Amino acid sequence: MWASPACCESMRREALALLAIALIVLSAFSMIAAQPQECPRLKRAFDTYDRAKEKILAIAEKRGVLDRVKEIVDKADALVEEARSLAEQGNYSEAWVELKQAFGILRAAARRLKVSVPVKRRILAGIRRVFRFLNRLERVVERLENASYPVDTVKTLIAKAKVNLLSAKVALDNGKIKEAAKYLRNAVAISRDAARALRDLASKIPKEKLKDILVNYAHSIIEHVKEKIKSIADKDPELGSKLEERVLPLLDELERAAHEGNVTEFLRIRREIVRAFAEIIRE
Amino acid sequence: MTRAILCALIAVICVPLVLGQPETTIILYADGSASVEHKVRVDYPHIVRIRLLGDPIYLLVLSGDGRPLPFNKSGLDLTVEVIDEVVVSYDVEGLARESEGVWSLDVKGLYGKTIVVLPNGSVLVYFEPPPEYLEAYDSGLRLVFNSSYVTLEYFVYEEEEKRPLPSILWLAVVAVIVTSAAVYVWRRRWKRPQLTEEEKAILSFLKSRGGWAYQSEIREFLGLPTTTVWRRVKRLEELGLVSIEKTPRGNKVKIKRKMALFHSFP
Repeated sequence: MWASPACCESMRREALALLAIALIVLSAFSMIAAQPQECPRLKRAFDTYDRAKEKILAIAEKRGVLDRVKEIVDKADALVEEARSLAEQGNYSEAWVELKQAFGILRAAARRLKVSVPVKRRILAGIRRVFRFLNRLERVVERLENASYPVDTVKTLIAKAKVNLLSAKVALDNGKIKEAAKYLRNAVAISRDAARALRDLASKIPKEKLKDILVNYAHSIIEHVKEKIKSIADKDPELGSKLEERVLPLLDELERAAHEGNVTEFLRIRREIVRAFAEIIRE
Repeated sequence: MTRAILCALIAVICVPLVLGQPETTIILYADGSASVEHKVRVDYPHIVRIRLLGDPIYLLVLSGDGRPLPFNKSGLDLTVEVIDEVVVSYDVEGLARESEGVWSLDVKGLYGKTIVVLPNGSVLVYFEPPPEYLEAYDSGLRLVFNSSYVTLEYFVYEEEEKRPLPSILWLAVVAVIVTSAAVYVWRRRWKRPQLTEEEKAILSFLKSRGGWAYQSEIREFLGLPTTTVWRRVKRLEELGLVSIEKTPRGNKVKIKRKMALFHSFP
């Protein structure tokens, strides 16, 4: 059974396209595979090894197990020396293989030390993490407040969470670990509520404020989208005109929905704009 | 079938192009938790799919100008329609796992640049692939990768804390220091000075005169030259035993009461 010439032609084109893509993919993979060969990266790896080894030996000495740990580290050192000479000869990938083995030994030495993070430090880490999140949330809220969003609920929740975090810190300083953990849990729960409240902000905006917020938002979208269409049209006029034809009416609709204060419609049109872009560019 | 494979390949190659330069930042804490942020800037309005690195404790999906964006989340996959930029931030518990004191972080499916910040006091004992960049950062380590996966192993070592003294002990230490200083100054100031016979005589004279006399009276009483008397009186003033007050009648020399209590002169 023979295929028609047209079919053969299309198959040949597809095969060529596939080959071209395979080549691109292969070159991308070879670039990734070649990464460890870069010399500065290998140098950094050697430095990291030296630093880690130094630290491990210092801890081992403090704990009175230096001899045992040094025995292990010496094996790693021998591999590193080999790796160094390979690197000097320009055999970077082989050097990296040796160095990886040395790191494996170093890791075993570190495991032997069983350096554990104390509970106090873990709780402190939790406190720091939540504080970081709340500070970030505060910055977001500040910007939204300037854009007339009703952020009182979120602000109250942030303040509550911070009070709990401070209580956790005080309890921790006084050695009351359990109490600190309890306050931290409270802070996490309240922070989660604050994030949710921020997400639901659009549905909580009072009508009198809604119009202003949406109009403002619509303007920033319209400005950005028009700018994008213009830059695409400069490079590809045909694509640009397709986008103009499809997206510009949507921008008008978006503005209209904003002036009407219709959040649902506004979000629907916004979604449609994004999808229109994706579809046209994919075509 | 071929078409489907072609489309899939094109999608794989084109995603980073569409997404501009996505950036993921992972800040690890000493308890293995992490704050994660994915920042994706799109070249044109686009539907962005982001694979979260773990179950988020709290999730913020914001536009480039900080407005909350609507999104769909199914499992760890997040879909969001982006006009210009999206910033997805969340915290994950247990992103790094501990085994015998060594923590390991293993993340896959990354696009673009990935920045990993290890906690303070971290010692890196393994990584794959080697980082593009590595630097000390706020007592921790900051590593930059440009690969689709990152494997790191590290341990967190905290220098044994020097126990701070309890506040009451601090107060006691301060009190001892202050008292010692006060005693030292007191003793220095009130140390009985070595006086010459003439100086002793001046003080006795002043005492006999109710504590004060004019310099001319002292000179007359002691029968000494004016300059000698002046020098002796001046020295007594320097020692803090007398004070000199200039009056129209001449210098009035007054014995200091406190001194009189501590010095007994013949």
